[in-house]
Amino acid sequence: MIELFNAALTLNQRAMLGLRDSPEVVRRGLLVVLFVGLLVGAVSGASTLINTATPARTVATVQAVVEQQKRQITLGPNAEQLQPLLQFVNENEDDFYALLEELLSLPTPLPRPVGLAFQWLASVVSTPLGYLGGLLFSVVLTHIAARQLGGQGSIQQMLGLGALSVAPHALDALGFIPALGSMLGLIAWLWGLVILVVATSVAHRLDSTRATLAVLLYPLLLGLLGFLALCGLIFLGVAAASGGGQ
Amino acid sequence: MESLATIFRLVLGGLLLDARVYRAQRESTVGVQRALVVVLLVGLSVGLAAWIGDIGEYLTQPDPQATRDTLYAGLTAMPWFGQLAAESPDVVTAFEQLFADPANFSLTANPLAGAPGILLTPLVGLVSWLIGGSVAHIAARAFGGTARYGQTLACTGLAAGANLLGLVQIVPYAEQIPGGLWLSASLLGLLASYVAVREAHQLAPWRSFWAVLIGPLLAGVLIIGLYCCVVFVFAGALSSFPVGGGR
Repeated sequence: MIELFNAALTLNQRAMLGLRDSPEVVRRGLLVVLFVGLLVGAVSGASTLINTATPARTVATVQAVVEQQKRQITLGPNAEQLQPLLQFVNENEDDFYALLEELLSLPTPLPRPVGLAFQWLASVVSTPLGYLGGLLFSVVLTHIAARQLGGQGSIQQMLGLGALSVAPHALDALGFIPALGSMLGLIAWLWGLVILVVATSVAHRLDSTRATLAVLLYPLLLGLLGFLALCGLIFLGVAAASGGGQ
Repeated sequence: MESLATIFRLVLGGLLLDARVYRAQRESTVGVQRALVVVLLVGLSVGLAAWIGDIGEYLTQPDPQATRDTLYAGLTAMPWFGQLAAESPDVVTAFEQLFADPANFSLTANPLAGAPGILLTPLVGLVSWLIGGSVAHIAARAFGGTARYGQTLACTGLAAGANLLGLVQIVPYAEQIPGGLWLSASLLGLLASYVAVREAHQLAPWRSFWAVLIGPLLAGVLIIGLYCCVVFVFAGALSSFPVGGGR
């Protein structure tokens, strides 16, 4: 499985061809998703656990986020218009933090560390599902487009090979590092996209142009439809507002 | 009766879209019985897992009454509440009514309320399998499929293996990514149904695709149509009232 993980990251086409012809293509591909999901879930869960270990630490984490938002508003172009909001937050935040700490300190039937352990476990088991949901969605759309463009692969081959595109998301485990985390997330996404194109090309025996088109066709179409629907909604909203103003 | 190991292999084969398992199921003389056991066992396991998860959440959350009291005391002590109370006393009344009703604070997991899910989950799975399998069979036959009704049910029953993903609910708070479990199980279920119909009816990929999708599409159109009818009737009833008729 680690070999397959490394092969995905290095775009090793020989390993991908071997996977395509394996009768256990789905199982081997999904093992990569499971591995990456468990790794990212364990690390991000541990990071959350550290930040929420005690009620005081949870409050401090929330406070840091609120302070950051306040700084952004103050430095932003709408600072003057948002002044009432800032004033509201400033007047109430101390009482809010006190309430939050009191709520988090309420007694529970099992000791608080048990609840924290459950939340860490939940992060570990639910992260692979998040990756799997996104993977299935993109694989289904890509498979439909690839078949329309003359692809010959089966859904099992597409799913097993497409699962390799999750491998770079192991970088998401470093998401807790401020500023660097989001940059690594973007790199992982782009790297995953390239792997999906190569995987589509191998699974469906398509050239790279068609494989790229297969990967991008439906997301672009859906994006365009979403954009048009948004424009339509804005147009209707403006029309209704101007009609009501008369 | 099949052994548990055989059933587990079938469920895993269904979950991993193993075409060989679906083909063997098509040819089996006890395919429908096996599929029935798979659907019921998967539903029962998932229902039980979700209930155990509910118990875990219940045991690690504070008493709802204490949460409500703390929340009420904290919110009413804040400056915004005093300002609001001075400006509009009606809001204070509405606020107190909101806190007086325990149903508004049912966020805490309740194992008693979740217990029927242990039986309801396999029942819902059974009904979904029978209806979904029947619709897929009719559609597949219309597209030129060759399988008998029993063979379709035998294969589509294995697609219930996708619901096995729901076992993660045994861990309390497992649904940290909203919709992640639902999206994964639904899409994997659709893919498994596609493989099931293709292997049962020996159909070409596109025909199998439409045979599987036609049921959910029709259901979607039906729901949207019913919703539009309700809105239309409701809007019609509202507009038939004369303006200021209440005076």
